[in-house]
Amino acid sequence: MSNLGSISAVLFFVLAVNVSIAQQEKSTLIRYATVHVGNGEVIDNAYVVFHGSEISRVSDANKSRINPSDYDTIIDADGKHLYPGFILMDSRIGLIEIDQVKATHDFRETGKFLPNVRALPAFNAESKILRTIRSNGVLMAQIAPNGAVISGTSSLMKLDGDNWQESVFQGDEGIFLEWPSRARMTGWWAEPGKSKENKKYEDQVSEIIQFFAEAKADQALDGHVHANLRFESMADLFNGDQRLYVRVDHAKDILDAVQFFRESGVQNMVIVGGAEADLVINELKENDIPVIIDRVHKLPIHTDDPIEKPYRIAGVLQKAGIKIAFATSGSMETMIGRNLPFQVGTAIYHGLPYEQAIRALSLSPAEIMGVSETIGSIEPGKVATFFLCEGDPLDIRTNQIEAAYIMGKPIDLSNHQSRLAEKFMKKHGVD
Amino acid sequence: MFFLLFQALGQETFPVNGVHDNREVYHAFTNAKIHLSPTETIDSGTLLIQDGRVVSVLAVGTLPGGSVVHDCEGLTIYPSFIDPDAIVEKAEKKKKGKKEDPQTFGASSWNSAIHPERGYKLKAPIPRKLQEDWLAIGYGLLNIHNRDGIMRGTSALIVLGENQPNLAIIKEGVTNHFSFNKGSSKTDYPTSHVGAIALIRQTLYDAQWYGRTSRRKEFNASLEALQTIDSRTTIIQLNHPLSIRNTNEISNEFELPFVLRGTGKEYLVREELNPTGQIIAPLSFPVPYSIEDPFEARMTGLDQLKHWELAPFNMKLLIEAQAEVSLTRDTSKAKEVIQNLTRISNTGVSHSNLLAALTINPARILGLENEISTLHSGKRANFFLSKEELGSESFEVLEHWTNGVQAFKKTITPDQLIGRYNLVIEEKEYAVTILKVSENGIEAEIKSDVSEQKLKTTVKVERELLTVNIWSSDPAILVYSLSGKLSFNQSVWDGRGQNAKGKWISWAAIRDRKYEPQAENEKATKDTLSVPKISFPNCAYGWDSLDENTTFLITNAIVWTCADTGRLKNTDVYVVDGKIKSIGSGQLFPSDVKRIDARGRHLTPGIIDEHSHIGLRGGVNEWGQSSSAEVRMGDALDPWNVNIYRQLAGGVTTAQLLHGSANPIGGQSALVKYKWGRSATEMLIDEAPGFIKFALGENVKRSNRKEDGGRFPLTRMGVEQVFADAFTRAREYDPNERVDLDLEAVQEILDSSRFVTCHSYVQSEILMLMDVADQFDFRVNTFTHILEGYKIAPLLAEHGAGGSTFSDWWAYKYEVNDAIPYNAAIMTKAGVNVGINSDDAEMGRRLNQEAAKAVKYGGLSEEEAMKLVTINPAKMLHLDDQIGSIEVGKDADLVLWSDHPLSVYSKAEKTFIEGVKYFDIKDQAELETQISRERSRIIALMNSAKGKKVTAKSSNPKLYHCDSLEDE
Repeated sequence: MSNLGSISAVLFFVLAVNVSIAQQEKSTLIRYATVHVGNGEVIDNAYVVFHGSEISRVSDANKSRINPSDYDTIIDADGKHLYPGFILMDSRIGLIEIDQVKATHDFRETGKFLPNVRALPAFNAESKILRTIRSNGVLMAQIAPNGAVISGTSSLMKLDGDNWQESVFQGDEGIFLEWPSRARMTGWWAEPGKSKENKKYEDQVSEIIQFFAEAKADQALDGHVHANLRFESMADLFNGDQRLYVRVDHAKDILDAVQFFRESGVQNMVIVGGAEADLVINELKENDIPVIIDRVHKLPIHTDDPIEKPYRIAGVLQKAGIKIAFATSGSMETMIGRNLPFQVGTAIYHGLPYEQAIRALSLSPAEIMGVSETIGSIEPGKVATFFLCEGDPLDIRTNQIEAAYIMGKPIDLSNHQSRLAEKFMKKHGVD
Repeated sequence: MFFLLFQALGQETFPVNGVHDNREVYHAFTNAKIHLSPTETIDSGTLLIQDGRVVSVLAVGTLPGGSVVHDCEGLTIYPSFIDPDAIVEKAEKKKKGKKEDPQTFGASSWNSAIHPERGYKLKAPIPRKLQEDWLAIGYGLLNIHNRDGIMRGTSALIVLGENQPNLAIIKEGVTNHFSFNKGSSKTDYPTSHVGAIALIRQTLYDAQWYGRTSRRKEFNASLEALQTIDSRTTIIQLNHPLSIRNTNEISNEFELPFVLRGTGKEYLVREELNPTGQIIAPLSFPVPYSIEDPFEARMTGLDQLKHWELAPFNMKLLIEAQAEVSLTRDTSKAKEVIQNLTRISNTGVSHSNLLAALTINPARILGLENEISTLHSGKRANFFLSKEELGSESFEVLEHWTNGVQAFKKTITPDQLIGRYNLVIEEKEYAVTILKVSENGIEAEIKSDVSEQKLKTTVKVERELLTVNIWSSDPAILVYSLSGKLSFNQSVWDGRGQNAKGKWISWAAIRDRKYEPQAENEKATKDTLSVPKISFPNCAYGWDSLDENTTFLITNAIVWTCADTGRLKNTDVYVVDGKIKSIGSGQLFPSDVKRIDARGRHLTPGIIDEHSHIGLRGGVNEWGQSSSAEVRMGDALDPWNVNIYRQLAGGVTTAQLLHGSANPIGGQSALVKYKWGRSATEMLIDEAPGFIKFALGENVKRSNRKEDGGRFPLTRMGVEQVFADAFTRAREYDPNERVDLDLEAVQEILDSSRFVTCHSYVQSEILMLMDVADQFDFRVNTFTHILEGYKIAPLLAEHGAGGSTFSDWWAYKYEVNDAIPYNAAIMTKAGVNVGINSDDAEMGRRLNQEAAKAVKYGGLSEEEAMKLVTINPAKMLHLDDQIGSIEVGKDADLVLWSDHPLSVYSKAEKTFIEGVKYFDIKDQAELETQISRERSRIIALMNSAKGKKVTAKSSNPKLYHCDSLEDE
């Protein structure tokens, strides 16, 4: 904890200068770091240069020369690692502060089909949870409503900014759909009871198909007497600018969802959850459907399943050629966002190659959300959103983030928890 | 079909309206095979009865004058079956509504689930249809009780066929009935299985006090009734086979023998049955699941699949375990009873054992073996005539006599009609085939050699009369309409009828003896079926057999001793008989010792989880009262919960299984080792010190429930007073007066023979409890969760309390606002003994990762971090002389890791408890294959099974956290 204050404070001072046009933007050189690009490649000894918010150069220091005096700031990162900012999918950051205090809940609206309900304006950029998450290298997050049938519209946020308009990176990039399940689970998250056959399944699926058919038809309608906000909000699903995220776990339900997708006119679909996605790999590949693994640290959904199946599935899907990204949804999902790197780390022992794990935390989610032109990897032309780590950020002991940048801006890695720790360590005279 | 011929007879005390009608004639049943008792059979003899009683059973002999003779050639006579726990009414379910005021239900127990004084009253005769349903499968005597509550009251024994309560009741107050299910009771308490056990025990103690004290003020009908509990058998309904452990303990504690009413799965715990104990097993078996779809099949667990296959073997296995088994019909349909008796018989249960389970064994339970159950002279004449022997597929009751009168007679057995009949009408021949006989009617087809036309036929049978219609392919044309009778054992039909022109004609049909109906089922082989494999436990990941090797040598490991010796490289650890014998390098060992090469691997002590709720059943919160110190979580231990195996895969070997946090004074903990495959008793740590859960804050004041329910306390102010009151009363408690299990446990805290683990969050409440402890002169052993412990760490150290915390949980409730992941490190540095616990089935299996967070947050050394999940919690549990570190003489509870044990890339490869290997990563692939193979084998059997199927249900075990309130 003590080693992370100094460097970022200095940088903050240096860079907290108002820069308005590109030519005048200060330049920073990070040299000799091992760069984990995000696309699966590694540069062992690299120069990384960024001007303002944009990366202008990434090169192998062994093969290229550079004149240090060309740069306003130089950071020596010999022996350190530079990673693209990790991206957490399907999160409720800024939409909830305390699980059991209802007044802090802004993630589940009442109703059934709510594509027009947006997470974005509810986002609380000043969330205390948010700051504890970015301290561990998670610098971007997709925020998404849940519940209902169509839960609402998600957005990709920078974990920086004083209000949602400052924090938004890609607004309204997707719509979340809760696919019904043939087996209705009883109980609640802590106490899943026995599953019961969902006798309304067929009706629920029909209702979804009907809703999407009408939404699609509505796009082509020549002039409305009464505008339908729900259908209007779905236009980008059908023209490919938005993604449909479908929360579904059981194999047979996934097959239904894929079948629905093929006939719906929706251009891009993403599975969220996918506990049994390994059983329907061919269908997912054929239809180019990525999977957001909702949580690595969870129990198998069936007693007879391999006991570590949730740890394994990321590796299985990745090896099969399915694009994956990660969430930490489920119990205490928001605060557990800070453990995203460790959850993905757990999947590595169980078969996910290391650099592919990094990709699933950076470039893959950017690709899924259609923003890989600008974020997701440490490459020229992309935004300078990355962090410098003394060791391996996916392993708990070595996740000591020294500095992090969001759009080229160094961010404060302390949070109210580190401040409380400092206060009481001082009080008790321990260090 | 149903006769109540002499129903007015025999009510001796009743005035007669008319002329008296006393019948003294004999009824003689001759030429029958008679099963006098399970062990006495006469191949051809005569049963003579008079006035409702058996006069004699003789092989030969002359009949007395005045006998009505019934020729029973080819038939078998059995004594009527007795159901010792017959279900004739639906069980009461808890109805929603207002809470009961204990004052309003009379001078009985305060708890409305306790009413041992209630007897079963037969107010009106059992409906005829229902009686017939029982009589038709051999049951003549039903022992019935009110199936509601925990101490349910006494039963009445009813004989079927009688229409007046005076005659139908043989005896009231026959047996006592207990259960663990509160039924319709609206008293809050108990809310859990452990609470139900505590309530039974406390009530029995209260009864002892009630009978003994000379100073009681109250009259209590429930306690009064319990004074004579010994005068009859007590039948206890199990809610789970594992509850046998509970009944055995209660039985020993109160010298109260129980007859167990089983669930049908008792074969899984047969070694825990009392030898020579009596058990009532259900005749209902699970219906096959409908699992043709391989994806949907995944919803059914291997344990459910295996039980489907094993259920018919229950009785055989219980008999082998020396139990005296009775059978109860349970809720099965008449047809299922006959099928299931056959299935039991096919497992190799002898005819005599089967008959005993239906007659003398239940009679012995009822204490009426001299009155009923056999056909010896002087006993009640309750018997039936059957076709075929008991256990045969075609066993069928033709007549049933109770109290000496015919109560049931089967007129025609329609399925005997199945076959081909050569029908002759107007000199033309037809072949009529009866294909199927069911409740929906008779399915028949007709063929004719002469007619080109395709014909159809309908056949109806009513008693012994027959109607046959023959139609042409044009449904408007009725070719023949025939009426007739069945004779010569249904092999000949004949009668009169009309042809299409209305002319009356004669007709006849004779059974074609050569015709064999197509077998619907493959005939059950007469060979005794062998018992399918039962694993330990009998579910996925159960062992075929348990590893018993406890002597081995681990070589060249990096050993984290979690003791003063620190981390040792290239070290050998020698385990002998489950204990650590030596630690070092370069020593000589016997050449034949089993060696495990651990080069490059890390060896740590088994991980200890100070706070878990896995492996418990029936609820972890007895929240009905603000103190539930009397409940014992050990009573609810479920060694078959797959999460135990999952924890082993994460290197966890020991845990404290705690009561929840719904009330300030919770229940007594169970300290267990996760010995997967062993019994609950074997998992509990011998002579472990007593622990009890306390709780503070939002959960106990019901902050996060929709309704608070009005239970004291609702504030942190009230919480303090609960403790002040409990300890004050415990100090005054004298067990020589009335035993109070609640105060007894609280008094143990004051005596320092029971230690407190207290759920806590904010500093104010932590300070409060230490303050209370100081006043009452005891020490709070452990604060668990203790997320604000870092704020007052020096005070915790001074008090001597340990802190067992989460690594980084927060933001889930208001009181964890100031929770920080630096907590463990700061408390450690301030001198507190700190542990990191799970309280969660998933996190429990990677506590090594959670410990690593104290390195990241707050900079503990790696060795100190490892201690957070090993020796530190061992100290909290007062087990550090046995476990928690790798030191000579300690239990060989060891984990071999693939890599640095604090790394997310590391995996527990082998986990040992007391030298026995309970997890090996090498076995996983093979186990997974075995599970798939076994599932497929049973699913194939199920899919080929006939009859109704049910939708699969998932068998995921319940997961409990502190907050979990509901039981099943």
